[in-house]
Amino acid sequence: MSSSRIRTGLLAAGAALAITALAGCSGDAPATPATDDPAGEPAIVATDSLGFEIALAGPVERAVVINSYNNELLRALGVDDRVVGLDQSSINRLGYIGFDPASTVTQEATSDLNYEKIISLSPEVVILPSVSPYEEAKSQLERFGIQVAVISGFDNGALEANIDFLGTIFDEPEATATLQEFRQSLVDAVAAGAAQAEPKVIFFEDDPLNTPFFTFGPGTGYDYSIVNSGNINLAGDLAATTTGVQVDPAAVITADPAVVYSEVGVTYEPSPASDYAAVAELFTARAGWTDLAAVKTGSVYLTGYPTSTFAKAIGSLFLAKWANPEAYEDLDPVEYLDRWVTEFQGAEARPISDYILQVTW
Amino acid sequence: MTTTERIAADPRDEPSPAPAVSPGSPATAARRRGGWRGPLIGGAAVLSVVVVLAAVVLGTADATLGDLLRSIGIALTGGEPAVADKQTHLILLNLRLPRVLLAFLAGAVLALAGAVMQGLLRNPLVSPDTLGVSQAAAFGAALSILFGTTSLGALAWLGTTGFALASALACTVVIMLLSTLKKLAPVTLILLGIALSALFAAAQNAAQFLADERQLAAIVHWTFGTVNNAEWFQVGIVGAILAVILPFMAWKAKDLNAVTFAGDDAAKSLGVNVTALRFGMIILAVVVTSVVVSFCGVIGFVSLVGPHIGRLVIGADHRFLLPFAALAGGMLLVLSDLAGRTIFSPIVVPVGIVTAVVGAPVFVALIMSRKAMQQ
Repeated sequence: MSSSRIRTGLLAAGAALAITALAGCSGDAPATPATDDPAGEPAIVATDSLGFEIALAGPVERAVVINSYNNELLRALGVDDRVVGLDQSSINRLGYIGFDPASTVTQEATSDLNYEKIISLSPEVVILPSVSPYEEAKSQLERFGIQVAVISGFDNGALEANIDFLGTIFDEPEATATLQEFRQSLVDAVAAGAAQAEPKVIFFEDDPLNTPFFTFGPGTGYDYSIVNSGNINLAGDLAATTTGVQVDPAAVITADPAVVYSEVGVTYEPSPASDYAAVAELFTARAGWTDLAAVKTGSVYLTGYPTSTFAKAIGSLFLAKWANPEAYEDLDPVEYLDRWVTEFQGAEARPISDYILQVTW
Repeated sequence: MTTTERIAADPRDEPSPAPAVSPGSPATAARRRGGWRGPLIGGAAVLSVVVVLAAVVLGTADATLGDLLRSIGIALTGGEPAVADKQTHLILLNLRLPRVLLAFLAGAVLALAGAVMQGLLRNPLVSPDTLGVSQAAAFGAALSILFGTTSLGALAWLGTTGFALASALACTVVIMLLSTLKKLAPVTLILLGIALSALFAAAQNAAQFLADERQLAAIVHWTFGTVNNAEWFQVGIVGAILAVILPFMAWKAKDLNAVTFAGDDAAKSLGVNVTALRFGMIILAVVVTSVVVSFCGVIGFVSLVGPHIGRLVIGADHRFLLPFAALAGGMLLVLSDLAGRTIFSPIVVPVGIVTAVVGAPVFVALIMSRKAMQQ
């Protein structure tokens, strides 16, 4: 075949491509919004965490919900039965809910979403956190009449607003009020001892075994949890980033935190004791740590689900008590955790010793 | 026989002895014209169509070839699908078809870019990846996320593409300037590309360090390489690119052959403006790679493996290698995406991960088979 024939063939192929592209352009179907209301006005309007408006003809009956902290909130509102699709990590972390594994649409919040699967589930709304590819999801799903709401259930700073949003779109005012009351009780519990408490430096280490001395600065859930407990985040002065950062080990020694804690897994099912032991061994081997105030007072904790669940709001109670045990002598964070687990999650309360290990030297 | 004709007639890297036929026989003429290669390219084109069609109908949502043809017909005629078929129609037209076409076109463009670079630099290990271009484009895209251009709605792609292109061109300018001023040997060029790859990879890490939670997730997600968010305008742009560059590169194929097989000096003596050809074609390869990277993220190995598959099957004559490599690269990426969205369905594995998992051992096998041939 001569070069000229090849060129001709290629030009023809190029034309075919152009025609196909045009076919696609003309094939864009107009969105069929789920908000169509014969009366002309949507019955429910709510604004998500990024300011996008969600307008619905009625309460959400079918939702795809990404991220276990979002699914936790829906469970707490009693509407988890309306979740028709979710991520695998929610199934892994919230095993007590019994979500159908066949309803997964993605691995976890930051993974690619299976849009075809989502569409086949016919949800009215997809709820996903800000770390998900939400812009992509909007452009792909809204033309199918599926609205996308951005709610980060793990965001401690937006917990009140998130509960209100979810309660509104699922139309559960009573459940919303009950959950808000519980949330407020956590805030009140910390406030009750604030007058006697002294703000202490707390160091949270994310994954000591794999990313040692990695912590979180201002604007993150862990920072909120520490600050809401009335204490000071060791990484609180970091202004360069609102995401995780690795700190100088010497800075930890210098800051001399009153409490050190790390989460060994965040699932309802506690991590194996061997995982806790491995981190404890790492901590106790660290040079200079025996002189830390946290070590001297026995305030180095390995925890998990209790400090992570409910956007780390219950975690603030544990931190408040660990930092100022005298001021919070009457506070029992386990009581609040058990209420959350049994009343709001419908699960069995586990012994706290399954989740929290106090590291000793 | 002129030098060019001799080169064109013997396109293999290790020329084999000419068969015992008379110089003027039809068989000789046919062999000189690469008569068997045309049908092979045609066959690859047919296979590409089959692969694309199969990839479009296969997936989470059930569909048939009839559904697809019906949907295309409806789209072209401006009709409306039956209510019962509407969801399938919309999935095929708005999700599946643009996704598969983007994968094919992106794979074709990447393979073409790799083939051109490998020919001009006379090194089979060269590709936009190994010269640091892909990483530079990725860094540019990360910067665009940091600066918030991805939140510009319909114009977001312009910001990402602009940043990716600027960064990739900056990297290329450095490489080409040093190559020219220091008269770098091809091997040294590769080493420079590897160094720049490391530099831009570190720069990406710095961008991630400075990013907030949302930006970080966006940057990391984007670096996986995916066609999950394929849109028709992306198909149009990449398709237009391919429609322009492929004929152009085919037109320059003989010059490419001269540089590749005869070397710079001999090519110059044949009237080829080697410097202009090398600079122009490499810049072109960088530009098209940047556009693909800005749409799909970092997709590795296609630009490296696609041309190699082409050489193994059809030889190194660029007149035939370029179109075949394009088809091979396109099919490679389509099949990788198909695997990524079906093997662990409904979980979608980004295509960039699949091409890395598949491409690396394939490339090792290609290298080993090449060494065996040389020995």
